[in-house]
Amino acid sequence: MTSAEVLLRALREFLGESVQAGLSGYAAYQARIASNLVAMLEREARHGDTLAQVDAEALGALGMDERAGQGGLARAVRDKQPLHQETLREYLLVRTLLRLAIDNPRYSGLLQAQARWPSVAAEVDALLTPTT
Amino acid sequence: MTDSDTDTLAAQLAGLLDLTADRQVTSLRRLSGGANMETWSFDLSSDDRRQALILRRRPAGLAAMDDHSNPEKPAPNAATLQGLSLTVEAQLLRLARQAGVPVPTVVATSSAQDSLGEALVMTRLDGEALPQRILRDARFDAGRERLAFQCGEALGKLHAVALEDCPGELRDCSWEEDLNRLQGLCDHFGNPSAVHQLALEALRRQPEPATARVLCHGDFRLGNLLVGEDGLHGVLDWELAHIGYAGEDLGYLCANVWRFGGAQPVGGFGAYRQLLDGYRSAGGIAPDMRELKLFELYAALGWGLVCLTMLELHETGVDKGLERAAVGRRLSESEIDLLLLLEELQL
Repeated sequence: MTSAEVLLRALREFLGESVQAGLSGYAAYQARIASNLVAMLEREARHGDTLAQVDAEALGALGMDERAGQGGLARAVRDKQPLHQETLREYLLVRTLLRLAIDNPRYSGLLQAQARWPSVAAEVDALLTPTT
Repeated sequence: MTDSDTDTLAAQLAGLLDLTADRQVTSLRRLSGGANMETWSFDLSSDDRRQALILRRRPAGLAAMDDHSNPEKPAPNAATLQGLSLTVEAQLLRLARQAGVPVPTVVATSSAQDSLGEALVMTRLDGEALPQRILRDARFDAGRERLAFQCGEALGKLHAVALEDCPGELRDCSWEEDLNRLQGLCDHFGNPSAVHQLALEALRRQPEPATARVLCHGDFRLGNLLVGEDGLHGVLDWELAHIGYAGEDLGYLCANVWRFGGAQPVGGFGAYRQLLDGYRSAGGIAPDMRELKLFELYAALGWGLVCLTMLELHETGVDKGLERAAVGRRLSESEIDLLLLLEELQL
């Protein structure tokens, strides 16, 4: 069966090569945004499971229900529930780097963070590299 | 927008500007438009003269934040995105001009009850607004050198405006009320970000900012500044103006998201010292670096919440554009900026 990643790549190439070429002005700009969004979904198809696994493990390590999600975690912070601060900060950094690898790998803040926390960046790189 | 719609708009403009037969609206074209505001460019032409003008108009059916005519149907998250009325914006442009801030001159205004709807006509200044061009085109090299100082100077002048002269419609809430407002937005969106919450808790642990309460522009950054080869030509888009701390406008301009990838801390184009020197040259009492950085944090959090607000506009069908849907994925950009600042400030 065709994987989601392959379908999305085909869709992105179609948008970039066939659709965008026939458009101009604002419509072409919109098509470029659409193509970029599909590229984002490709990255999500590739790395989404890794992110979900990191989330589940960290929520467990923080003593929370794995299904609590980011909303549950944010409310726990808001309500001043006792959370191990170092674990929380480390997790949020890894999670945000993973999230940016999907959402916008070129964002300047990501590059700054990789320079500031090289060992965390290396850990995230390892998570993003497929094991053979 | 069809040709006949454009003709109707030209006729409405002629009515507002009380044009006689020898003066005409020409070259009317739409520059941009989102759910909140349309911007049009046009000329007022006669045999021997041409005046370059801009029309800002609120699309029919949308009320401004200070328009309480339809309280049952507020726009989604009016407090975040829905700005001041154009009548108030015109008052602010006049105040800013008197204070020496470079701004367009107000030519005419009309209210929601008029045929044109809520609108503001002002002079069209020369200059570039696109951040990437200002940051990267060689023709702005000399202008970029001066820009941070000039931004500081403009903000120093703006912040010298007496609060008693400001329109009563401006938001003016205490630090604590403001943080509660941000918490209300986080809760409204279902608390999607633990990083946002950490940042908000960190702000709550800080003392109230030390800088003076002043008239803040509220969105002072590239994109809303017109820049020429000699530097700053104009400050635009006053719809998010409010009463706030002097450090807020200065920190906002330095927030990473508003550097547009530029390497320098002030708007991507300048050094902190240049900005603060310019601010002091206009009589402003500059914040210390810690307060400036705290307002960078405040701006990053604010941007994250604006992303969620724009996403909600998409999800509720107010603005179905692709960009509104996509902007929700910029949440992680605000989060990494917040994590960097939390560590830098040891919060």
